[in-house]
Amino acid sequence: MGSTGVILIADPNPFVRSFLSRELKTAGYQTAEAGTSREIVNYLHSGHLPALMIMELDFPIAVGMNVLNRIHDLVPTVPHIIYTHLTEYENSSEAKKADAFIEKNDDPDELFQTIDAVLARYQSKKPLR
Amino acid sequence: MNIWGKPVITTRIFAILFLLLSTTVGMGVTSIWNAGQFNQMINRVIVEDIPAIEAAREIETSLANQKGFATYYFLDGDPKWLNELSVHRKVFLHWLDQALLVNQEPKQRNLLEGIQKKFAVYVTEKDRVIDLYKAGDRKTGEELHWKVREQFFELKEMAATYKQVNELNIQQALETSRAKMQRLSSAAVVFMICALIFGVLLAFIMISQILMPIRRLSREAAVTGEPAPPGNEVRLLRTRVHGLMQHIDRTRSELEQSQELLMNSEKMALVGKLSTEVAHSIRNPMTSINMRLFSLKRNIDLTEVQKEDFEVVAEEMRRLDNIVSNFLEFSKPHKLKKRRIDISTVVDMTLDLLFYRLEVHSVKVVRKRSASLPLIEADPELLKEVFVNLMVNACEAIEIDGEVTITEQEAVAENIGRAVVVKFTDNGPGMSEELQKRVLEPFETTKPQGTGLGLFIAVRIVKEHGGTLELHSKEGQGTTFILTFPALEEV
Repeated sequence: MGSTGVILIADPNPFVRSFLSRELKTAGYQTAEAGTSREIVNYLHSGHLPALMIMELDFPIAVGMNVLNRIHDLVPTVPHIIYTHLTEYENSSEAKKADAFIEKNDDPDELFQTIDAVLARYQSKKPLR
Repeated sequence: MNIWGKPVITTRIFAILFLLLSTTVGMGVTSIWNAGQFNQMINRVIVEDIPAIEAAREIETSLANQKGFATYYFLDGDPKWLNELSVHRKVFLHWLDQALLVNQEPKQRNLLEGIQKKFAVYVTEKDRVIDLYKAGDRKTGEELHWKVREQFFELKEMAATYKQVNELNIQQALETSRAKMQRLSSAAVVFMICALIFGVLLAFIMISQILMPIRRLSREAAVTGEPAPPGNEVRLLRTRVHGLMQHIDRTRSELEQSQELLMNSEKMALVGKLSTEVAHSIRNPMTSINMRLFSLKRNIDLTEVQKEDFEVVAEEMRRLDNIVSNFLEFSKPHKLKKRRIDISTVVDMTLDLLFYRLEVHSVKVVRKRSASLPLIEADPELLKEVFVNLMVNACEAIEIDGEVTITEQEAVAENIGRAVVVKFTDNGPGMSEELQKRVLEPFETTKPQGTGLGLFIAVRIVKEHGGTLELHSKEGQGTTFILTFPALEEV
């Protein structure tokens, strides 16, 4: 699975980012990290579109839906998984545009399985660059 | 339309009362004044006019009585005629003196004085005639007698005039009295009409501006629309005002209660906001710790002791997570996903969920259910949360041979009407009154590991469903939680 492109991990907690990054790299993915909404936008503007984004909604300053709306505007075609403990947003219209909504808990297995599934679905539809 | 312009009722009433009193006093004063006048007039008639006229008549009579005695004496020379004459002269002078004593007008006084003078001359002349007769000079006597005779007639004329003047006085007094009486009657009629008008006006104002408004006010002040009690308007108003005051008292105490409630809920809102902030901040690093723990557990082999330590850490993390979740639950406004449900289904779900926990605590569950309960409109997930909370509390409170009785029945509740009631009765140790008061408040807990939010959230959820949660307990006799929900009307 190593050749699927970069997975952008967007989470304000550096330890969560490094844990997910480590686990994903072990599984053969390439990763990039963004700790603030500005870092996400900067990454998306740098010309490297990620193959997938893992998104926490609980960012300081630009909370939840605002970040999600910006991303929808900037890169509407990039698949993204919302990985958060803000479960009250699960049924919002913005969250429903995401490819998956996973509640953040101690077991990251559900996230990893979903990443595989979403990537597989996208790769079968269109080849990535 | 206000024909009175600005004046207020009191001014109007006083104005009319003043007019009414003035009329009455005016009538009285006029009557007294007229009575005085009459009295004066009658006095004058009695003291002056009647004695004067009596004297005038006597003067006329006694003068007339003097006629003829000189002639008789001339004829027979008998001196008894002269005696008689002198008697009548005395009577005449007596009455003349009487008349002069009476207080009279100058005209009458002049007349009297004229009579007095004339009578003196007449007596002198007449005595000369008699002397001439006595002396035997009959011829000269007779000549003089004829002259004296003229004087007598003049005197008589004067006495008659005096009498007429007096009669005229009385006549005038009578006419004056009649005219006065006429004026007095007219004044009395005018005063009576005025008094009648002012009285009617006063009555009109009293009725239209006081009695009618009082009656209207009492009718409008009826608090609960009860029928009017017997009694006059003022008593009725007093009853109504009394009722209103009671109503105000009740409203005030309700207001105080709701203010207290508001303050409490403001406090809760602040605490909620604070706890959300804290819970959010804590949860993020906690998730990170949990992830690492999970990873550790998966990647290393632990000794038994290490495993035990690890489990305790994991368990405590779960507990922290639970506390944080409770705090978030407490502050989060519930979005009720209501649907029509049978409350027994929720009880079933709760018991399924708690199956193992009931086993662990060896608690027996007894269910009492009415044949057909009406449906309620509720969020089953939230209700399940409430029931689980109550059941877990019961399980933890019960020490040995635990039994929880769940009663589901239909009832009619105050402020709700037709309702569905669910009772959770345990045979645990019960609660003191002090504890009963505190246990429904937030952050009050008897459990060393509790957050003190479980029952508070339960109460809130039940209230959000339009229901009530009550607690009945006695120390040593178990506890009953009674949940009442409004029943759906059958279609």
